[in-house]
Amino acid sequence: MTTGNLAFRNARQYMKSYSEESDVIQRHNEAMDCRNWEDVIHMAIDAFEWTLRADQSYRVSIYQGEEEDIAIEREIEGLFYRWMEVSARLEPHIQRQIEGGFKLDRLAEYRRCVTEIVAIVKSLREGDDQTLPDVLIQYRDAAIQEFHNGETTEFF
Amino acid sequence: MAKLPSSFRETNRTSRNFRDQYAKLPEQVRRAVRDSAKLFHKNPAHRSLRRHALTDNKRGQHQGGSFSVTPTAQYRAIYVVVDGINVWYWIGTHAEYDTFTGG
Repeated sequence: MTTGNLAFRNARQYMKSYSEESDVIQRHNEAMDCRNWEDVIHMAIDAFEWTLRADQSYRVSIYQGEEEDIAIEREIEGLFYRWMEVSARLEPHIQRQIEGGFKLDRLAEYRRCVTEIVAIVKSLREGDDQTLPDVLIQYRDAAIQEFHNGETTEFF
Repeated sequence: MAKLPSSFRETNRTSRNFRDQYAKLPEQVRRAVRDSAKLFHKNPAHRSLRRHALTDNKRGQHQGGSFSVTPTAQYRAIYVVVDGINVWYWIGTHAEYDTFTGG
């Protein structure tokens, strides 16, 4: 597994485009058509999807027995952090478009990407000693009961 | 699709909730989960899986036994150890998990 594979090349390229174009569009804020903002949102979604693919591609290689590569892991994490930074800078401008009455195509999808990235980055910082949330305690207890009742099944 | 090793299947079970959630995952995520299961079987503490304990310390109890594993950057799977068997009971995105923690 190398960082030269298709998923990595695309993740890097889309992230670069997303970052650079969002800088340009912010500098020319007033003159920009709302369609430019939509294009940046589309770039963000593409960059997000390709970063996930790069991660999956790397993980599959590990799961198939290849050695871990800290440099690759750092690059993937770096892409997630970078995406979050760019999006945080972009947010006030997107907000202004919405307040100006513009309907931005794929905005809901973009918002889902933001939520996912924030959670991914948070998980990267997660320590060892976590508390099981209440909702999951219910799932756990139900699972234990199913196990004792002989109702669990093999892993797929 | 090839079955996971019998030694893995003997020590890993799934709850109804886990199976329902797993069935709704995108195909490439299901594949990654199955692939990660093979590594988990060989070495549950492998760094890539980012396994860590989840402790139930509500109601004054300290009940251990649950663990979180990360098969892809976006997803986590959770299991509890019962009588030496791993019972997998939840799988979803970190974002879905955060809705439970108020994060």
